[in-house]
Amino acid sequence: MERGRLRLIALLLCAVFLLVGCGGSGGETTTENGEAAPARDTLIVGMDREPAGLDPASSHVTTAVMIFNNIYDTLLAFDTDMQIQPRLAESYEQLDDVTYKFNLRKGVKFHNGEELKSSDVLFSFKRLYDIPAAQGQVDMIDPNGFECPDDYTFILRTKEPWSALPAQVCSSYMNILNEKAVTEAGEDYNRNPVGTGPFKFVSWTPGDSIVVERFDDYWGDKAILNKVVFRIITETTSRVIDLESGGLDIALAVGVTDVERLQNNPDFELIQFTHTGIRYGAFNCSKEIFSDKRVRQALNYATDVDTIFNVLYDNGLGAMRADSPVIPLLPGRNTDLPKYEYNPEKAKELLAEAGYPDGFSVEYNYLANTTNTRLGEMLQAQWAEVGVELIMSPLESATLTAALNAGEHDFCTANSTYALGDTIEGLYSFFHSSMHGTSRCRAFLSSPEIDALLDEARVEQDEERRLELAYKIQELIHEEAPWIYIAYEYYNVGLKSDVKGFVPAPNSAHDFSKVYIEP
Amino acid sequence: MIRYILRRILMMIPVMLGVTLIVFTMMYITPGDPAQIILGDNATPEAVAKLRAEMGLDDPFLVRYFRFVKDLLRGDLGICYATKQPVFDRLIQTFPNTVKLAAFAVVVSTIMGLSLGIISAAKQYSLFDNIAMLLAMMGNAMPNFWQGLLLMLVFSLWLGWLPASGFSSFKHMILPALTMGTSSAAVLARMTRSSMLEVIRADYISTARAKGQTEFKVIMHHAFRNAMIPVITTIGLQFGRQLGGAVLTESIFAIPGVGKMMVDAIKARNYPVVQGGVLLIALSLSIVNLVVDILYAYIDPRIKSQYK
Amino acid sequence: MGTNLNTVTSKPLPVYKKRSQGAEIWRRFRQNRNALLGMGIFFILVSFALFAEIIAPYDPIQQNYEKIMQPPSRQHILGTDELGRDIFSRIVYGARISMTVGLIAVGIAFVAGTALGVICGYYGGVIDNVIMRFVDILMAIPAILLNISIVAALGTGLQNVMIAIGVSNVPRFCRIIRASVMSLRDQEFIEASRAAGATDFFIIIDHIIPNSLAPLIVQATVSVGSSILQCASLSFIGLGIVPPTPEWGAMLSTGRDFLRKAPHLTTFPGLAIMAAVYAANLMGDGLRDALDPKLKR
Repeated sequence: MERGRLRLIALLLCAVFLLVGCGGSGGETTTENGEAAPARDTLIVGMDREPAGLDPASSHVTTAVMIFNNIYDTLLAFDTDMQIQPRLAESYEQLDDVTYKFNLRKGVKFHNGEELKSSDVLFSFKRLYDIPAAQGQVDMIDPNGFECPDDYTFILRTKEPWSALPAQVCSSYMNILNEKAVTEAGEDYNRNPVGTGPFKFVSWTPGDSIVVERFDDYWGDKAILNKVVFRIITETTSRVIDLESGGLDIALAVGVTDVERLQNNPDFELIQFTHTGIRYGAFNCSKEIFSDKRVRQALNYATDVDTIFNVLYDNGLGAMRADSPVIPLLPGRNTDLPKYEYNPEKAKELLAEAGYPDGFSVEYNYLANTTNTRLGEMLQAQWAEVGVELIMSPLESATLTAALNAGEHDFCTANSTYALGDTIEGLYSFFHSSMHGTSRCRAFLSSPEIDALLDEARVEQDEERRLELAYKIQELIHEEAPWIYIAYEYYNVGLKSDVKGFVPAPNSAHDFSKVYIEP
Repeated sequence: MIRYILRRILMMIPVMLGVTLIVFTMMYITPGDPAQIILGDNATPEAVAKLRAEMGLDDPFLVRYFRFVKDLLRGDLGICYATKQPVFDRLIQTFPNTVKLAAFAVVVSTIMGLSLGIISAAKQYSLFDNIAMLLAMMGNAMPNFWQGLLLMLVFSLWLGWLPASGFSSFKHMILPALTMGTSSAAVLARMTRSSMLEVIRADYISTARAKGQTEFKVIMHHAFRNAMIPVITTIGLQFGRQLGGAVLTESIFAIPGVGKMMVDAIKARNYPVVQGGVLLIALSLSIVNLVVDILYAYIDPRIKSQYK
Repeated sequence: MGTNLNTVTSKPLPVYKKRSQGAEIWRRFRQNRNALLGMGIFFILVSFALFAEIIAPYDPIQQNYEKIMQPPSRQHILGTDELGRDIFSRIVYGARISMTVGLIAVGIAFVAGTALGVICGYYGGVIDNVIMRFVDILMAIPAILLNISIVAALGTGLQNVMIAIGVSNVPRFCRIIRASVMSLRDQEFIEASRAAGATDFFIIIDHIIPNSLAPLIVQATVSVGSSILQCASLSFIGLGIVPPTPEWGAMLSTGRDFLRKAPHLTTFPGLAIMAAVYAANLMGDGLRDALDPKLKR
């Protein structure tokens, strides 16, 4: 009796396990390409973030930009030196202050077999006005100014003279979609993208991987690889271990601490490049304490940036020391700015002058990762020397974004990219008072003088004059000291040494069509 | 018995509604704006406000909650803010992975826990007993994420035996299952040990011994069988716990499971996914518990008589 | 993650005369070598926590950029961390935080769980049903998700972390004490007391709780360990204790970025967490055996 009962229970339990096991292993959750040993024409890339969708208007994380660049094409595109080159538009010309004409390449095929026409371009641009996430991208473009004189000519107009238009056309939001594909797929388009790029979309296993394969009718040089598997591995440590243990061919976003080891390992190659971002600390100038520029300058003097830089970036292994708000990749960078040398005495004087001889306390809102935490701990120790107490207040990402956009913070740090890869557009988004409350504007600076110069530069058509203005603006910003510049971080990519042809793009739009695996 | 089971199932309904209410409230009081997150860094405040209104996020709490419950009762879990897929699809994609992982982890912990527990009990208070219990507890005391990384270092990088991350084959499951399984082996080992000890002292064991059976036979045939009753329920409960506890292991090993999805969803204020995910996990936990209770009643008639 | 040594048999124990019972338990506890080992480790950690100022050779938050990530040496017996701080000193001070988290979180769970459990068990009926459904709800949400949501809602920081962990532990205490109260409430000595005119409150405080204490103590002991682990998990997700406070979980979590380059950054805080959890579990096991006369030899 007792025995029979137990046996039954054991059987039941086994059945439950089996059911559970089978139910799961039905196969629908496995990717065909997660295997450790890849075929030689399949490349496995480990990336740090999963895009939310593959509709170019929906997502803008760096990994999404990278995948877009391989599935889609823009009319114009930045090359790896951040110079604008023709892509789907063979050429373009500016007809007057506000009108641009693009001559489209002929015989370009979409992945669904359709041919690229100017109507697709019109469709791709027009839909951005209806998509909230993308509306900011077409702010300066006149929705009624589009024209398609014939299938291979496209005309657009800006609302007012705007010199950054070609750069805007390179933006990943402005990728060219196929009207038919989008209309047919409806809501599902986000997960079934169709473009003109060298790779076409195959599959997406959420949380696991995105697979693309070579598009044989590509208009340009066809991709060498047959297939690329983009695996999502969010933990940096895991990603690098996976590369080193043979599971990946390329690991993106390798941490500074792994740089040296990979460099010294002959089986791997480490590629470092500066991307379009700058790491800085931002004072919230709309807060009473920081409305006084002497206080901001004082804390700049109170910060030993050199030491912070050396500690955070392993003595320069992971970044370049920042000395201007403009990144080295861009023209118009002012390198003659006087440094705020570490000088606690001077900091104390300035604080006393501003009416804070006994210091004050500042709240630092940040996302708790290793870099931010260490940065905060160092600032805390250094500012304590001049009587300023830094209160570390980590927030979880959604709360942080909301707090920063609302300007509730006293001080924060950020690693921001340059909008449109353009000096003036970048500075505008960081410092123009009309940008308060947007994501790049963390300092809430309100300086009529800087505003005026930025406005002028934004519409200025003469490149030389624009750069002059940029130069002047940086001087003013430096004097106002809304930021503590820390570093231009390198972006590190680890590759197996038999992976060739990978050329990193500063804007993260890495091109995999030229990549191959050496036999 | 049937009545008891039916009553338990009926009782799950208010509990599940309670779960949704608690999660809903928690998400409601948490700062952070899903509309802002969906639109990303470049969105204008006007666009965010517009989207908030479209998503119904500006409605009062109760309106939103009742809308959710109404949809839920129609079997509609809503649309994932991030991927725009139905939440149901997202759960279908991730949940089987977590179930597989949890089941495998339970297998690992059962094998480890039972063997350590039996040997410990057979050799009570011996050096081996002490060492076995110490070992069993080691896995429990180690923070999972650290243990996972160390296992990965040893078995993937240094020995090269197993893949480091991902979830596409049986091999990929071994390290994560080991990480999770070792943490509950101790519970099982202890349970097995004390349950065996109780049985070993029973009269019929002495009888078996007196009849001259070998010690091994006594332990395996008589003691083990009878000691299994509480152990089986413990295994069931472990399975339930592993389902809800796979979060960090899934992150470390890049497993597309429901736990990782939930944490990402909480971070992104992806309310429908949080709701759907919590509901699913809560429901499966409750079902597992019910099954365990039924099994238990089935084994022990004394308990059965209480379930009227 | 959520697996802890927390399944506790909730049978109430026969009531002995108080003093001799304590002595008997202690005698049995003492005979258990593992339990003594656990207690030894626990005392070391508690003394770290109490006398951190005396034991730690360095200031735990004093940074030294000249000595970043140095391996263990004679000056720094456990090496230095990513900002050149002495790891041993940080672990010593960290004991204070971990012990605080462990004890207060468990304290919250103990008090709230006991109160709810006693009410349920003693009064039964509708109150019991309502409270137990609430407990079912809490139990149906995995602890780590509950912790994350609570901290996300309340904000990070020591206090909120303790509240979150405490809340997620309430159901276990509640269920244990409820079961033991239910079996006690109809026993003769309770009825006698009631007949003698004692109030419910008096009966609960004076009879019910003391007699249900044994399984609670065991549960509390092992929960200290699991709370420390829960706290470490929160740190991993970035919702833990605010720096520069030295906390083991945060040290471990930050150190994982340097796992390959400087393994001592994770090894020692990891071992400290293990030791604490281990000690709690060993003591809990020892107590369980000591409190359960059936296992007496």
